[in-house]
Amino acid sequence: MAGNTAARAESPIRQRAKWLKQQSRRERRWLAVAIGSGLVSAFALVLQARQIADVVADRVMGEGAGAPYLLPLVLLLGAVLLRALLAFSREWAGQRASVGVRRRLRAELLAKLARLGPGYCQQQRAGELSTLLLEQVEALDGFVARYLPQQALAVGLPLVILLFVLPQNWATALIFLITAPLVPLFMALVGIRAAEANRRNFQALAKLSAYFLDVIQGLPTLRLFQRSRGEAQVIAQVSEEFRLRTMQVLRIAFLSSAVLEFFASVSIAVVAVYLGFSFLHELDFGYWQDPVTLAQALFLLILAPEFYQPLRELGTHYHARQEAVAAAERLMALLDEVEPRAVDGKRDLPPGAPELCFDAVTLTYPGRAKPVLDRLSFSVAPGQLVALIGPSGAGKSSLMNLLLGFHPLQQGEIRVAGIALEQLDPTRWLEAVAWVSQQTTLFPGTLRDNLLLARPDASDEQLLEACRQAHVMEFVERLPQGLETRVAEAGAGLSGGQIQRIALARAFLKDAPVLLLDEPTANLDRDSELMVLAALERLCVGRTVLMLTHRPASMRRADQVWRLQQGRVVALDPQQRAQLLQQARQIGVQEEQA
Amino acid sequence: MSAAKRKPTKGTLATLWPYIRQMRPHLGWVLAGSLLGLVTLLASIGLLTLSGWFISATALAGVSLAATQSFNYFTPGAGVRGFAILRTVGRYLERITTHEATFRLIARLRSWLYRHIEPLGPAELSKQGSAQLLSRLVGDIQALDNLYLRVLSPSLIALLVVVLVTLFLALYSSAVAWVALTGLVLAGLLLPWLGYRLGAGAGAEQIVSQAGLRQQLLTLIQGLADLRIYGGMGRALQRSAEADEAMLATQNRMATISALTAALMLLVSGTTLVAVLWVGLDEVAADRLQPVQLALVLFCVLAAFEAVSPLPLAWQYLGKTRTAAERLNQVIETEPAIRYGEREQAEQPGRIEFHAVSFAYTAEQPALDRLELQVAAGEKLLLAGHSGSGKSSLLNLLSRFWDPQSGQILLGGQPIAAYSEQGLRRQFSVVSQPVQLFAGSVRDNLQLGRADAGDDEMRDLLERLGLLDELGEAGLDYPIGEAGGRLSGGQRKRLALARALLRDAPILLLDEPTEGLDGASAQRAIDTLLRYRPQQTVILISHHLQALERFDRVVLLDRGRILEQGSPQQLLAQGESRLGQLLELH
Repeated sequence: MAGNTAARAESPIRQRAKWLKQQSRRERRWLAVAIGSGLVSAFALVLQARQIADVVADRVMGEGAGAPYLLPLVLLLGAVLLRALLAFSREWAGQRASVGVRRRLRAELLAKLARLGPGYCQQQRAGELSTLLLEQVEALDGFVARYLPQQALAVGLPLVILLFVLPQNWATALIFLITAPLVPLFMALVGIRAAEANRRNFQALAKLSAYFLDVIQGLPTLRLFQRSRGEAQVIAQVSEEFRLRTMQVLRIAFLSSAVLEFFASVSIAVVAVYLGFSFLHELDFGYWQDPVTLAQALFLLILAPEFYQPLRELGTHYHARQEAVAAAERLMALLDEVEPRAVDGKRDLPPGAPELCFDAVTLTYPGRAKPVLDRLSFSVAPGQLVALIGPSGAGKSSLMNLLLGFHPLQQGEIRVAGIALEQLDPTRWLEAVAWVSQQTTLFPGTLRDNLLLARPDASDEQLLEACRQAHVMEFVERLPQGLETRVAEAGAGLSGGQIQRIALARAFLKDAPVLLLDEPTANLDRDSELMVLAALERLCVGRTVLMLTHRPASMRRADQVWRLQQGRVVALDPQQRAQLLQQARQIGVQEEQA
Repeated sequence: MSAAKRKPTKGTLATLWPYIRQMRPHLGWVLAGSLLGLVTLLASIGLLTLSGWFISATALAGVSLAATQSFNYFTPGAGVRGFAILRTVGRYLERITTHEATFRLIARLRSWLYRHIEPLGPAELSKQGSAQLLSRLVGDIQALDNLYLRVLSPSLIALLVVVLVTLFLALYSSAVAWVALTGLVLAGLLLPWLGYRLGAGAGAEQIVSQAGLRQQLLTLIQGLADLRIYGGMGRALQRSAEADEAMLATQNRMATISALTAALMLLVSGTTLVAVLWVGLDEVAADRLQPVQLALVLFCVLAAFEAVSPLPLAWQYLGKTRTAAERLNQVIETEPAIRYGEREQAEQPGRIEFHAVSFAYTAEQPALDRLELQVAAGEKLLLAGHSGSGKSSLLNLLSRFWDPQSGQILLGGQPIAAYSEQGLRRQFSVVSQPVQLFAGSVRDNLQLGRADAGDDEMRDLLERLGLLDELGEAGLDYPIGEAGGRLSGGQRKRLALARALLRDAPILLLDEPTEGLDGASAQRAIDTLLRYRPQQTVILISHHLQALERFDRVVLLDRGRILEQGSPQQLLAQGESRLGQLLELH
């Protein structure tokens, strides 16, 4: 498998790089400002070099003794100021481009997630998705802000310098051109070999961290097996092995950057020696008409190190590209996820509690042979409460997702009040549904905001009534700020029971004809469960209710109890039900006694 | 977050000192790296300085024929070439050496940190045991990796370069030396300090705003279903966009700071150059400096700024490094809450008693409520109940990852606190939930159970669990990937079970060992674990009642108390028993 991946590695990387450039193109104006600033700055540098060279040459040759050199010094200061300003705008524009790219990409990913819907998100780990949207998008920062402008400048800056060097002295220009035989070739050198060094270094560190995380996360297990003490030694050993292996690669990979360093150094040396020997008449070539002057020579010498600087800098930003390419893989995968087909039914529901009917519904998850739901048929009569029980993994949640339209229907039909689900207007259908799940999410904002989500135009009385019905008032009254209490991180500060009661109040407020309940009392303590059950009893009146549960106490009021098993539903026969309810009652009695 | 907001109580150096101190054993490499960096920079400065002087001197000599003929161009010519080579070789060796030093430092830093983290229980590491906190911890450690390479070494080198360059310039002109020193100190001290001061605040804000965005994203992803049904998707998306905007704004601040310091660096170096030129011209006019030396000092100053220019950015991010170090220091300074005794051996191995044990992770939700439970040596016990009934807490207490608030736990007839950690661990073999496996081969993971376990024994055990065939040809050498990622959930469970069975301990504790196994595999697993070591006390925690009849006793736990218990025969005989049906629904 590994070999296979390696063989295909080349083209996906190119694809990802291409995708990254596409993303960046949307901010090409800021990128152009960054690159432009760098290029204009090169002209200022040339101006600076020219002034210094002129003044020094003039003084050394003793021609302008005592001259004030006011103009050159002012020009020099002007060039310095300009370069400083341009350095600021280059950095700042790169950042603007990067911010723009990331802002857009994150919004796009969020919109994609919204379109993929809860059905998709439930299958993923929320932590991983949030990492994708946060860290992986952030990984593009260095690439857009610094690597991309530098990539252009690594070609552009040497060209600008060459533009001024060539008219002065062709020999020096030739030295530059020979030592950097072809800028693209050098790019490849820096790009491939120095990148390899960077990549290895980066990978080694990432692997070391992954290993360390593995150990820290596994610490309880290591302690249980009496291995945690020795692990310090192992960590040192693994790091040591990583060092040896990585250094082996780095020793060779650093050679490529040494080559760049070598040419940069040698060209300065060769230029200096050539110029010196020209002055001493040992060499006599390289100039156009007049022999080299000291001013020209100093000018060339100042520019020599600057010629190679952009290439050297590109190497230092290379790992930003690696990071971005790695992130692109996962970002592209999310953007490529197949979206559920948009349902564009137009029909509206008739008023009143509808009938829910599943007709030969089959659902198979991709890559699984056995269907989760296998020609499943059952119906819930208007106003009835049906409890659905079954082992975890039996497909209860999938069934709920189908009914809500979060999962596309593969086979069979679901009818609401006799109308096929795909003919219903999806927005209208969801407006007719209230749902209480085992994990209610509270959104940042006040408790009132969270409740009004269900019905933004509800009056205060309606709101308070819903709160009373759902036993919300009991704890809200004790909060100093009542309904205006702000919900901190994911409902922190509220107990599970309190959050569930808020969810119920939401459902009361929505006053929808269909009520879907997914283990509404799971993970609750006894008192909360009793309170939630009492509220539920009131809530269910006059609505069509489908409840997933495996708590007998929740089943007491059910008109029917169905068991979901191997993709089918089986009605519990009267005796089984009687037993179940009997037992539920016993527990209830015992609970009340306790 | 709170660490970032809090007013720092210790200075930066004091905060970072424990990490800097770890360099001592590798001081040779560290100093060699810095020395080579210094040599490279000096070669670079020397190359330009000498070149500048050389062409000025030759130009001057070239004017008269006599001077031309007597000019010794061999020495400076060779010098220029020498510096060029020295710079190349120096740079290469410097990179090798500093990376060597960094990797060595990392190795040492990690094992040192690990030694501090290892004695801490899950209670101290993270109250919720969240994986995210642990990855933050590792992230913090990573932030310290580059302290030497990015901050310490360049700062040291810059300091030495500034001193040497100033002394060198003073040989020619003290006025020029003073001007250069002023410029270099401004660039090398003031700008990094500015970057650090401005960056520290922005960096801390960045961490806060990033946490804010993560919260918004998590809420949105988790609450997607609620948003669809109850409406409010538009608003939630807008809130996320606002949190994103807030985070990007802090980044903009950080970027503005680095843009500012970069611009100031150019301004300072450029202005210094102008000032050196100005003062140099004066000195020449006053005959204190030969004209030909003007180029020399100018090129020297020009090149010297290479030493200080990377400092502001490095120091700007020092604030982040410091925050990471502060958080790590908190972990390091935490005293393990659990104290172990001296006892090495149990008097009656395999016996467990809980007397009126109450325990709660948080004050609001008690996990165990005055629990009474005795388990005889060699007994096979099935402990059943809903999630949240307190089953797993039993395991945490027996492992002493947590201690109960009240009551007493006796192990082998002795209070559990009397045992040394090794003495305690020796009593148990555990399959926890979720299982934790480590990157490596199947054999590596099994040997964690018993280091000297033979291949035959391992294969036999895997065969009995039906796992050997699934591993294919690689068998024991099969690489299971990070955290066992290349295995299915059921395979991971069985591997963890095999690992626990290899370990010869008086008590076997299992938390949901058959979760994710199909019926037949689950039967095989239970069969194997009950028979493998007949003398072993077995406590199996589960929320279903598979193979119930194979156990000596079944205990039903509910809300931290025993609801019902008895032999399976008793329970099955009572057709009315709530137990069976209650659990069957699961």
